[in-house]
Amino acid sequence: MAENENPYVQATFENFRRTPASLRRQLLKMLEQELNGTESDQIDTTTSFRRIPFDDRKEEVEWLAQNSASFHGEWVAIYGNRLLSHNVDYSKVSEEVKSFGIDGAMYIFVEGDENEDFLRFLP
Amino acid sequence: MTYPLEFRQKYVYRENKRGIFIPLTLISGTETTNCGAKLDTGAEFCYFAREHAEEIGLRVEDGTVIQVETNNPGKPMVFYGHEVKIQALGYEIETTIYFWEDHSLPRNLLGRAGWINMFRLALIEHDLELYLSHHDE
Repeated sequence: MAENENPYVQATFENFRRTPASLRRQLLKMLEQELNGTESDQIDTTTSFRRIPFDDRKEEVEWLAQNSASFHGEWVAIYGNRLLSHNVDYSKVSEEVKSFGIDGAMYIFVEGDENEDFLRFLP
Repeated sequence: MTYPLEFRQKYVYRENKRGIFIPLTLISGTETTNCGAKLDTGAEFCYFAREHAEEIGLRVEDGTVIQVETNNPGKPMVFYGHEVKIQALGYEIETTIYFWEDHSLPRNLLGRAGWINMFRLALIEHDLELYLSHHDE
């Protein structure tokens, strides 16, 4: 912890400490530019990646398209074209799927008709 | 004048009035979970349900907090950022995504920072086609 008793400094430091490592370099760069009075509108996109086999989960996507209307407000677990479990409580769905010993199920929350949109960030 | 573009991956998505659904896998350490998210160029970050975080062993409230204003003034949604790996459309990337503090987020979103900004991406909604390549390819 930085040796500074100013609560604002401490809070800022704590937030930095909790910032994911992948964002710290970008954050430091933004702070440096802020300190030097320059604008920063560039996002550092440097990242690691690797190509992997492409699994489009076609059966699960098709199942959702055909059947999800019956499960609004519920979690569903699908594997291939099979519904393994559904419940409003995710933990019950997860436990049931694990009891089957099935690995690789897809867990989806089927949203209802009402919309709760994310509009913008607070300043 | 024309502007030719080349991509390494093509995804033909299923027509869905609720958006472009992308199946994906979230990974933290050795823990994985399979889910999906809507591609959302209007979302600043990537937002996911907390159930997925708990499934892969993350303690949601240990992450970096952000508040998102909604259409309910004075009642922002609180999310916590965590580093994970996302496997989607033939790519695995390391990135930061944000999990809602509450349960049953209506929909997961793949937004700009954290996913879209990692790729070059072209969308042809008319033909339900999504093309992409990683920036570093």
